[in-house]
Amino acid sequence: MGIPISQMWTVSSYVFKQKFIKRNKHYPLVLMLEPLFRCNLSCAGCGKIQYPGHILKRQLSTEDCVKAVEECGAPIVSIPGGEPLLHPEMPQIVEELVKRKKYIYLCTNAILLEKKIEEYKPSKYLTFSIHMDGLEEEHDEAVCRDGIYKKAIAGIKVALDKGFRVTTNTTLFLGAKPERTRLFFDEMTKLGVEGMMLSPGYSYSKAPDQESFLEREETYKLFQEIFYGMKKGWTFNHSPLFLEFLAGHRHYECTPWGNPTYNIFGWQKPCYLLQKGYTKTFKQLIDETKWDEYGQKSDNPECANCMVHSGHEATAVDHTFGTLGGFLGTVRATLLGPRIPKPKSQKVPSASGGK
Amino acid sequence: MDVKQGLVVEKSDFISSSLTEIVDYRGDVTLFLDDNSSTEGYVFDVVGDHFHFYPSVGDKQEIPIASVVKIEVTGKDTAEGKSWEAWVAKKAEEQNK
Repeated sequence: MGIPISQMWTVSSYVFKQKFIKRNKHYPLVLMLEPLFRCNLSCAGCGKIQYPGHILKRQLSTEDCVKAVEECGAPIVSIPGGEPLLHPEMPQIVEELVKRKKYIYLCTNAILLEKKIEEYKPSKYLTFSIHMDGLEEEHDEAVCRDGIYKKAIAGIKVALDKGFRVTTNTTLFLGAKPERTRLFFDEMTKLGVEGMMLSPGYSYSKAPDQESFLEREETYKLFQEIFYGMKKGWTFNHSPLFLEFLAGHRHYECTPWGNPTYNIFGWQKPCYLLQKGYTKTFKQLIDETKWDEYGQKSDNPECANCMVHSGHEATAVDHTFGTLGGFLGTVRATLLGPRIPKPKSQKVPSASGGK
Repeated sequence: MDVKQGLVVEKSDFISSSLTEIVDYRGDVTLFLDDNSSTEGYVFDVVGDHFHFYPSVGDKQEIPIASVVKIEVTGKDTAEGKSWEAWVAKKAEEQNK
């Protein structure tokens, strides 16, 4: 596994404390901190950047970010956007969160990484998570601009040379070619990234490209074809149970409170992807959101095909630490590799049959 | 209700669904108030009986719905016109040159 032991220990002890000591059902695992929405790309699959200019100019201050992080209490803070490297206070935000021993995933398209890397210090708490949607052809197409793959590769190399932790984050859309994705994993592995993060695309109602998103059974099929015969060198920055979920070996319901989102509007209800209003405090988010209206079993059509990691990785982690079966499954998958149904097996897990 | 630039919603049409669609619109609107003033900006939420609103300039505001007499959609929909198809067509055009 690519995740350092200290991080695994921090997360596992946090989950244990929340579940068995505090008996807290709705505990957050990863805070999605969106300090700004402006971006230097305009990707067709992105629903985050379509706002009037005066909204795109706004940003959370360092103080706002620290307050949200402390209020939430999650051990991991993911900083997407927008493009976080455009935020003039980002080095201070990172420094403050490192001081608080939060594991930070700074999600960037890496266009500015070579230019700005001197503003950051390597730390076990800081990971640059580079947006890479595949090999050059696929990535440049996904981000709607040529030349970005090469820039991202250059950014990864510089960050690795300087001793930073580096992962990639990849969203796979309809039409993704399994053999090309496997080649992409080989390339990233050769570069020496610590781990790769994956998620099937989610059809934002505001994303301009509504036809390129995957439905649940297509997602299973795609990930079966990608993962079957998984190479030993590939390292994913995920729970192995989440990989089994993507490939249809097991069913997980969404844990929308697992990755709460904070941005200039407030705490976003109910999750990173849907926008059903905002609350002023994290406590209000947890107490006032009608959680049973979301997730596949709710029959909410907006959730029917969603399998994104921001909703389901927390379920996998909770399963690992919350049940003996989940723990043993994680140990088995870590030692022997995740269980991936044969492609064309058409295996679909029972949505009512538990995990 | 088809929310697009130029649409005017009168107070008599302020029902829950029309306000939700105004919130979902990714562009600015102008709120006309009962004191004959108006303010343009982005409505990002309706909570209870207030609009939660970012004016074009200035800090977040909470405006009582009761004080609004009319809403006009004055800004363009920023989610429109950036389709995947347009990008693919542009790429194809470049390759054919």
